[in-house]
Amino acid sequence: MSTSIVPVATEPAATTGPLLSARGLTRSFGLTEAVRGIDLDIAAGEILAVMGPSGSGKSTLLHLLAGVLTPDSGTVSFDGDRVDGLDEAGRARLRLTAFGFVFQFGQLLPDLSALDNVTVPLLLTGVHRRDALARAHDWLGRLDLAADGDKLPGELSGGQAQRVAVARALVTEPRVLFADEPTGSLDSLAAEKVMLALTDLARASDTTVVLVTHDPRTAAYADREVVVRDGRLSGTGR
Amino acid sequence: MIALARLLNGARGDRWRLAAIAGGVALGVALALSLWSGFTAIADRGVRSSWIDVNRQGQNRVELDDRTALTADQLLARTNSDRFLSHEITVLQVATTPDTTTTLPGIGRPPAPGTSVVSPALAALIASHPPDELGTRYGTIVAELPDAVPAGPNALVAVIGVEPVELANDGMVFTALVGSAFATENYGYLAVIGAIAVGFPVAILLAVVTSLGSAKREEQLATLRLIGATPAALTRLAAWETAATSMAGAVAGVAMAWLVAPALAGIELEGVRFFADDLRPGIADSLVIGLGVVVIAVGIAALRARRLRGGPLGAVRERIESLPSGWRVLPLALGLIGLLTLGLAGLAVAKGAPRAVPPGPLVIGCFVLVTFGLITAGPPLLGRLAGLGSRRADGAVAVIALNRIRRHPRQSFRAVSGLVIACFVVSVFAGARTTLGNLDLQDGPDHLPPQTLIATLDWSAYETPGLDSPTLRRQLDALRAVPGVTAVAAVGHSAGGIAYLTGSDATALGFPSSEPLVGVDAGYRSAPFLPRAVEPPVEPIWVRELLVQTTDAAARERVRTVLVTGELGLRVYNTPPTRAEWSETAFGNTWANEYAVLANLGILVAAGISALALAAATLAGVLDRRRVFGLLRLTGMPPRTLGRIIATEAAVPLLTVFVMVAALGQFVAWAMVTGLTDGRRTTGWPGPDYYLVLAACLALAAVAVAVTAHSARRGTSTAVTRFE
Repeated sequence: MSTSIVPVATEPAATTGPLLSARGLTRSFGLTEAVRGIDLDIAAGEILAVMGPSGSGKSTLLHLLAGVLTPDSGTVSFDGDRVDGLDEAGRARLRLTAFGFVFQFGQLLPDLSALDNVTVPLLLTGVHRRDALARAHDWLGRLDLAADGDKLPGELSGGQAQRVAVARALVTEPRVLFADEPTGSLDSLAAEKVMLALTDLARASDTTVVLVTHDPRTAAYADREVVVRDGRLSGTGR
Repeated sequence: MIALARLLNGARGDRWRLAAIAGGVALGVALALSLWSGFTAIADRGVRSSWIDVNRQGQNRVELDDRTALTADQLLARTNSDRFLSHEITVLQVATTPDTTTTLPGIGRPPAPGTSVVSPALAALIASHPPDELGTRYGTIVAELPDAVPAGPNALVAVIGVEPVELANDGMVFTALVGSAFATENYGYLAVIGAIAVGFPVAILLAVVTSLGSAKREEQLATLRLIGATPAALTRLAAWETAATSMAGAVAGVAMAWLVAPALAGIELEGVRFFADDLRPGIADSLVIGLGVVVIAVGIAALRARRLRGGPLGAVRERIESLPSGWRVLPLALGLIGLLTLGLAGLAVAKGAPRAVPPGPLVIGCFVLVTFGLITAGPPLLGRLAGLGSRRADGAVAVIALNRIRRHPRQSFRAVSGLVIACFVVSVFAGARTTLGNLDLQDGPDHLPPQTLIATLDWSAYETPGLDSPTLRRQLDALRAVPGVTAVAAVGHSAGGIAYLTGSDATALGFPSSEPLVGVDAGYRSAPFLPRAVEPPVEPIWVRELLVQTTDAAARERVRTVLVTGELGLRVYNTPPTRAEWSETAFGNTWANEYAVLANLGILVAAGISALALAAATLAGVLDRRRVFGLLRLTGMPPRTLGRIIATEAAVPLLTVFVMVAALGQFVAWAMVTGLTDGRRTTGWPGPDYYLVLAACLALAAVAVAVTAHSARRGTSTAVTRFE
């Protein structure tokens, strides 16, 4: 029996100019040109799906936009400020305070309970533990995980663990959420629950989402799709 | 299978992991082999050389009414210590019949009267000094001892042939002299303590390095399971890989042990170095230890593969340790209760209570139990403390680190357990050593000068007692004529604890008196030397000692030579020591200082190994969480936060038990000393070297953690993590 994923409303958020902007981005690894001159604007509150086959450069593009990598040439701007000009510490600070991340798997600290895992980004930004626990508990509740707060990652299902990761990514109320194949390791039912939660909460908090996926069903939750092929944007959708 | 193992380990990271495992195994095997070689070397040299000390001979002894009435298959022997400058020389005097059939190990027929056989080191010492200072003491040197006899290359040993009548009073008769591995049970105890202090960290190091990167390895094995490999095939794969890696490490370890033997041979035990050959591991030992480590490593790897948490679907889940049971505290508690009982029993014996059983084996048993108990009790104590701390923690570093310790108390404690044991043993030793520290030589204007020679005379040689015996006075005058002698005094004893000497002799020693006869405290070797006027005792005064002062060390040695050879007619029991030398020997300070140096060296070696184990364990902990740490850094966690997490994860277990271990060490030292000496001795605060060694242990740990943290920061950089 197959389970279909039903996209939620795809009305784009109101835009007053790009929150995140890339111009002429290039990045090579040795002789491999992973990104070859990409221009991209992402509006505040927009949910953008970056699609493409494996090895097309979509994860590299996400890492360039998030300040994980610096481009060989071109610029990345966030809220009008250049990201690529910041040093490593500056970019780390930006990622910690303004961005959130959800990865495919293996992102929860195995020794911390689900609740403690969600508090980690808050604690890293100096929030007191009591406040962090309260906020984390609130976010777990929003993701239908209130009863699982004391469980360790090893005691959670894949879908539950991924929703904990979503809670952890959103608990700092980031301006942009970067999600790299967030449903890649999940079955379709769990993937649907994760994507519903992620997009609903992002819309509710007006968080911009950059979603890298090669799965059209996951991309269907986005307001807009771009396709990366051989390091270049080869098309847009919706 | 080998091809598959090579395929899996082709990646750079895996090659580093295997190289680290091989390196760790090499170091562990080298240390284990060196430790074992050291142990066997001590035993071997004991067997080889201890026959020279007839006071330690328990077998082949014959009781004769007339010791001079020897038969051809008997020998009469006496061992004593000769002294020359700062050297101590072991002298065996042997008397036999002219037609003797007895032989001495490595020498054959005992030397004839007036001749001697000396060790090469003593021959060199004799050759470098005037005969009247040393060489004359040994008569005609007819041969040098072969290497198969002395304990070590710098051992100073002489076997002197004498007439039976010279040993008639204090010689012992034997049919043969044989060596034994350990001269006293104390050596056995020291070997046990040494094995624990150094052997345990080696075992920990081996355990830690063979588990490096186990999480990633399990993922790879789980992937193979996913594509159809059977559990048996995975077990074989893990076994093959570990066998190849640890075999390479073991071979390198044997080579290392062989190469470091000459350097280790420079370490002195009881003032004697080792022959490098004594410390070179033999083929059988190398095979047993080398292959033993390989077999154990392979067994552990195979067991890990069998217990792989990934099913046919390939998933690997983090294993959370179950909380260690509180029962694990039991051995520690029993050991401490045992030691407390033995300590209190010692105090009771000191107050007159009867001694129920010999305390030695019990004390050592309790010590081993406490040491073992520290290892078993560490994880539950640490887990519970970390649990308490994690609930109160505020801040990402404390929350992450304390929860890690709480969830993995065994693994966390194992990382520092080597250091814990090293610090415990050094604390016990430092505490026990304080029992000797308050017995140092007393000095000052009211004491005999430390360099005064004190010769114990064979008073039976004088037919009539008295300080003014004409024979004695003539001999003393002859002694005063030896170049460099500034004062000679005869000391007589009678009932009442008073030592007598003439006023003129006292004046010559630097304690002016116009009285014809003065008395001093009979314990003047350590007590003040304060001559006072006394009435002549009713009992006769027997001359027991001579006090001799000289201008310099050479003159002192000339006096010793004259007294030892008896050429003036003065007969002494042993080579006379100075008051300072007597003090060192009597208070056991020489022994204690030698073993203190050795113990501190051993502890620093153990701490070094433990620091390596700590580094490896810390690295293993980071490698196992490399992806999640990397992703956290990718999300913006500052690199220094990762460093602080790693440092906290190492520091919390170490500091939690460090204070406890130091305090326990002092208690155990008190209980051992009090128990072993029946309450006659107690302990005090350790000296500065103890705190220096502790600081060195902590510094080594800090360096290990700092290096690991640096490496972890590099290994979790965003550029690395995005490929995970």
